[in-house]
Amino acid sequence: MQKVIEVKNLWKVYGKRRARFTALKRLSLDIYKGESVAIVGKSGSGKSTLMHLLALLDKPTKGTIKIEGLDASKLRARKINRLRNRSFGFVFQQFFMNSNETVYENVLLPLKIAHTRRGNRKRLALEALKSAGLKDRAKDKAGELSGGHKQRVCIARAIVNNPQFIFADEPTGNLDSVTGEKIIQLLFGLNQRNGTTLVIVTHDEDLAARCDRQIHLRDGEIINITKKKGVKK
Amino acid sequence: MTVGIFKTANRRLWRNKARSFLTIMAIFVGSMTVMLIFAINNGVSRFIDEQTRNLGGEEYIMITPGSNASALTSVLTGTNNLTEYSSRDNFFTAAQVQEIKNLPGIDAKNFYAPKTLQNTSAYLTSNQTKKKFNFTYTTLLSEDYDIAMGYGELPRPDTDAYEIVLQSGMAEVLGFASDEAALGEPLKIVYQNPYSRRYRTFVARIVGVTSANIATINQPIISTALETAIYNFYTEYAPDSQKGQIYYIKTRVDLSKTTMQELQQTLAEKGFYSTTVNDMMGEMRGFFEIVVKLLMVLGWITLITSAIGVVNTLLISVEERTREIGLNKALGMSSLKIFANFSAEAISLGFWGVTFGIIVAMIAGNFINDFAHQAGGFLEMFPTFELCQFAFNDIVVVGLIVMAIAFLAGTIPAARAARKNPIDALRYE
Ligand SMILES: Nc1ncnc2c1ncn2[C@@H]1O[C@H](COP(=O)(O)OP(=O)(O)OP(=O)(O)O)[C@@H](O)[C@H]1O
Ligand SMILES: [Mg+2]
Repeated sequence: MQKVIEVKNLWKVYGKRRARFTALKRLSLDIYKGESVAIVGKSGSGKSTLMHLLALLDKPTKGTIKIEGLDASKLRARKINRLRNRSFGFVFQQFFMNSNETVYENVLLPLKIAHTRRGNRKRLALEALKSAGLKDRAKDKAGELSGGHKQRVCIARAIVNNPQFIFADEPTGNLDSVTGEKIIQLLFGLNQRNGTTLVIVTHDEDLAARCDRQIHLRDGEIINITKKKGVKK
Repeated sequence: MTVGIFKTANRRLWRNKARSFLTIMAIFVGSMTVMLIFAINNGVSRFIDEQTRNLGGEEYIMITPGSNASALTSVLTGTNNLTEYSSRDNFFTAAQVQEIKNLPGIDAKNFYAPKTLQNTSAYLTSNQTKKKFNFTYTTLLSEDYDIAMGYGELPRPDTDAYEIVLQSGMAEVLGFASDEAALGEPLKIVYQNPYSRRYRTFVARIVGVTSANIATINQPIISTALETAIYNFYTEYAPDSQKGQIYYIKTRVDLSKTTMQELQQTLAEKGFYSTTVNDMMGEMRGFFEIVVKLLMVLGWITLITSAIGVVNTLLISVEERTREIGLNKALGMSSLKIFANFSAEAISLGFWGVTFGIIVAMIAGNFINDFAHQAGGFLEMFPTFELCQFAFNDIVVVGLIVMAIAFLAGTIPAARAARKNPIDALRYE
């Protein structure tokens, strides 16, 4: 199996002096191509922090992260932007979207940034909307949607560029079980069909159990890594 | 792509109508002020130039013997007209004329030393009045005269006809309804020969009326043919020694060979009195220039103030849109692009402000011009004085400078936006 993300002795410290807070400690971890990994743990254990570091949205205080063999700290801003734009898909814990723009415009954003050609843009955006079950909501204002629909907009935005990695922070957190199940199907579908690597932060034990591996965090440290039952890896 | 940036920038500005509008208003007021001041500067200097040309142009100098000051021109410069008494003869000898003609820098091809009549007794009258008026005249000495005409034309240089041009205002004194009504009408000029005591009436047609100006020749202008006829009549029985004296010399100066100052210095050393157009216009021009410069400073201060408005508007906008910026960065937008986006907004604010500023300044300028020239307006006396004149160059310069100022003002907030860390930005509530 090919290692696509290699993490060695990762530390993340927030704040300075008295306000210092160590969110991640001595963290080492490998993620393989096409794998689905769940990051689990109590609130405040550092799950989101870890996900942000893996997705190159933030810089570690200490330690190295390699993406496809390249040391992230040595990559140029341009290359990192390109990776985030073309190879990564994100679902953030808070929704993070432009609430006064339409659903369609929100989903289109990564493609706009990528300067995808107009014709392709439209096709890709409509496909993503359809997969997320938002086909007839395209023209609605994003800010006026229900929590569940907002979550779906974020999912659609994450998959619109057919990324190799999807980083999802609580992707089912705001969804009822039926819709949640649909989203899970969608993510694992991409994982199976396209070999998309999934990194999912979740409280949902059911969802975690369906991932190939579960990384258990406590106070910023890995306390255990478990594997999916019944699958040999 | 660049067009796209400005499109989105304007869409974003539109989303914050109230704030954008206020900033644009600030820039608008600044650019309008500056534009108007540029226009007034233009209007004033063009008017002064026109006045200068009325007096024969900047290259001309008028030389009189001794302290006999210019008799032909009168200027409202506020200088006193008392000149020092000199016992010298008040006309040039032939040798003096030659001496002056040979001075370095004197353009002999445009050298006028006319024989003129002095102390003549003549009067002017019309069919419209019984009154008689003292008559003195001038002729066009140079083709460089570019006299602003209110009505009609200057006398044609090659005509055989007796033609006369009145100065603005004279027609009404002569009994005509207005300057315009006098056009084409005859005037009677009556001379008495000093030897035979006979009278002769010359009938001259009014071909034009000059427009009112600050600095001008204050006598009627007559055609060369009429002047020759008068001269011949007047000197018919005179001894040769008195057949006309040279009381003044007017000449073009080749400024590539000498400076006016140098020439005037030389003339003064030789005991001649000289006047240039700049002598006459200098003070007035200097005064206007100071006023315009002061106004200009005020205009730029207004513009700088509005630049601070741009900084403020965009800084608020950066804070407000921290999350949006963070999201864009998280999704891979480069810092440069974010910088460009904010700069485009700044430039757009500048563009709209300055566009409206220029348009309104032009409307206001025309309004001011009309207002100044209407009956009772403050420039009614000077119909050729267009106070506000808009030059294409100035419009381009003001437009570019204002947009540059807006861009510079926008760099601070734009840089701040570009520096934001995506995650910090996303956490920002
Ligand atoms: N920018 C920051 N400055 C200071 N402390 C921070 C910052 N971001 C996170 N932390 C702290 O780091 C710890 C880990 O935060 P993180 O968001 O990774 O937790 P989490 O596991 O995702 O929790 P949750 O399940 O509630 O989302 C928390 O105690 C949090 O308060
Ligand atoms: Mg979290």
